Amino acid sequence: MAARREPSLYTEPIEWLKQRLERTIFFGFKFTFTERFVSPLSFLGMLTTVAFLFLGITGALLMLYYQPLFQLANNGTVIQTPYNSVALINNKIAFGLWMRDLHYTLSNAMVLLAFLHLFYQYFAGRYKLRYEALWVTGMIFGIMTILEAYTGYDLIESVRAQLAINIGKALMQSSPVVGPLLFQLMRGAGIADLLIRFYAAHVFILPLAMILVMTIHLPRALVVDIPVISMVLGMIFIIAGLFPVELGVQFSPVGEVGITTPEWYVNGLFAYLRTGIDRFFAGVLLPTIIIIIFLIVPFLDIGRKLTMKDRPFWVALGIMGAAEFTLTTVWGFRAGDIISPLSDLDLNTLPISVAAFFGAQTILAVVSYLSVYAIVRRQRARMAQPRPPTALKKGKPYSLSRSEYQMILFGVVGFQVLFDIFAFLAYAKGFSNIALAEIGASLVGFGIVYHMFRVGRAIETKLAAVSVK
Amino acid sequence: MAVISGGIAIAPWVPSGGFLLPGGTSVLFGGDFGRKKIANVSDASLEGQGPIGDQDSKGGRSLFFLYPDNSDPELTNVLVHLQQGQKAPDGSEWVAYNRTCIHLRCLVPYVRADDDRCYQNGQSASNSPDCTSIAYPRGTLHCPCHGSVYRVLDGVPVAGPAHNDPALGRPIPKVVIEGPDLNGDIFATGIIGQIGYGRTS
Repeated sequence: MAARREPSLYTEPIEWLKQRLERTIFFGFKFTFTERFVSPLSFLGMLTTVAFLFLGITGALLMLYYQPLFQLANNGTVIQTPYNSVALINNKIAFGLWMRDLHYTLSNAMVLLAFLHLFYQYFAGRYKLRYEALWVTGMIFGIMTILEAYTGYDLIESVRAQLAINIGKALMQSSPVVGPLLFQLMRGAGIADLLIRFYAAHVFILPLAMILVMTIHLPRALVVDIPVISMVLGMIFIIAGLFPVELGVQFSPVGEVGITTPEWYVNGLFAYLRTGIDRFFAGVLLPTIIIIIFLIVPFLDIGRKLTMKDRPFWVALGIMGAAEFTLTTVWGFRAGDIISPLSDLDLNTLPISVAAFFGAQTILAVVSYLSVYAIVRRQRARMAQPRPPTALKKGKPYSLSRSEYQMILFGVVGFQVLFDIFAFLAYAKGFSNIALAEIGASLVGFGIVYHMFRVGRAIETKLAAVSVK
Repeated sequence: MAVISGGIAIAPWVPSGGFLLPGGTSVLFGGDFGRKKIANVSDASLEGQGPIGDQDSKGGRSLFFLYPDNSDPELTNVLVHLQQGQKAPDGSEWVAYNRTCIHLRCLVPYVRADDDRCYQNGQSASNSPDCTSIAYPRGTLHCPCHGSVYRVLDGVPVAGPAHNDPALGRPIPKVVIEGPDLNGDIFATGIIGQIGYGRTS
């Protein structure tokens, strides 16, 4: 136990604030600042939240220049298009490209983290133990995340955006009962209305709904691992810098339209639609069925056991889902035969044969299902065999000496300084993307230093405790 | 009683849902929208093929126009001056269609019959003999999203999802045009069929 610190000029105001915050909702959450490294797999949800937070910041800044106005001349040429304001942000506004890069990469990261979070919690059986409300709201949150990402990449009004808008409209219209009404709600009196509606949904309605759902979805205990969070953010910055977002081709209704692929998270649907099976089934019903299956899993898998070997069926289902998602997503990027790439000009590479597509999926489903069962059976057999108790190997953890510790610490800080200098130089030379990547590297450095620092502090505390004894 | 009272209080608000549904959507359902000049024979056609009024022996010439108004990109249409020797069922050498694919509303262009954009494994292979045995006929309306193909003469889907899905298969909406007058002006007078749905008759 560390001795209670003496009140000081530094701690006094913090204590004062803490006591006042106890009157608010804030301490309804139990924040745990981890003292040592914990696998980020166990707090992917927190990382998703961080991505959401930074999306809010970069998005709010992009709002300062983005204009959702779309107006066509009588002959079909474009008078005003949101694309122009995006191009302005991209090319003219200082740090505009940074904001776009970050917003785009963060959105992809958020969707990816949400998927990983979903599967991790699924395999860990974390929809049990009275976590059902969290699971169901999590699925809703995931759907809203995808919608948020979809409305976001449509706001650019490039060719790709316009085609995605049209496909969204058509899928809505093809749905029975509420479909035509939703189509009208989405479209208004034309494209100008639609874009403003997408904008309102993207920047206010959906985020507000997400924050409301978040109040039900966030667990009381929150893990805040600042080193890992800053390292992940740094990596997102690096990716944003190295793979800058494309501006795309400006859409004009009287201009030419080439082959485009949607964002990766809807590429599976793209592949389904390219087979030419019923569009409502492929584009609406199938995703809905998959979502509903995952939504009601906690009410079907009611066993009390959490370990994977005790619930092989559900693990097999999850593996199958992940495998099918991967296959269809990859196929969306490829030609009909999956082997050759999807050429952006060759229209003949578009169609996917129904037999090949669903055949491959069936084979994959059977293979993943059987392999999960085979592994589980082997594991069970191994568990059943009486084993001689193996002596626990107690590897002595290597702890750094003080000089090594200091050397690494100063080394990383030195690298950070270098990266910062390089970032300034790169920006001055006009390589703003490289600068962004270098800032990301510096942020990763901060994460490493913070981690070293907390490990060092833990060692110091331990040493102090030993010397007191 | 409280529920009834609440219902009475809310009831007058129900029609206000109309706030979300402004008018002006009738245009999607085809009809006679009045006569509007859409092009002149001297207008340049797409892909740098020269004026649309000159008939071409190697492939049709096309251009895009908006009709009946400019409220939505789905009101974009393609005017095709058919290649020499081709005639539409009504005997005309001009055809025009709405470009909104009946499958998922992507925007369909006309791909010229002599389009040498033949690709194999992403490489241009125009000189390859295999290019003659290409699966889909060129000189068609070809959708860039999911690969639906429409015959240029009558707009009937002949391949891709719009053809393969038994629930679809309708011809793409046709724009009624009046051929070049003495000044070389071409006019549109109406749309047959529902945009994004197709012709039923």
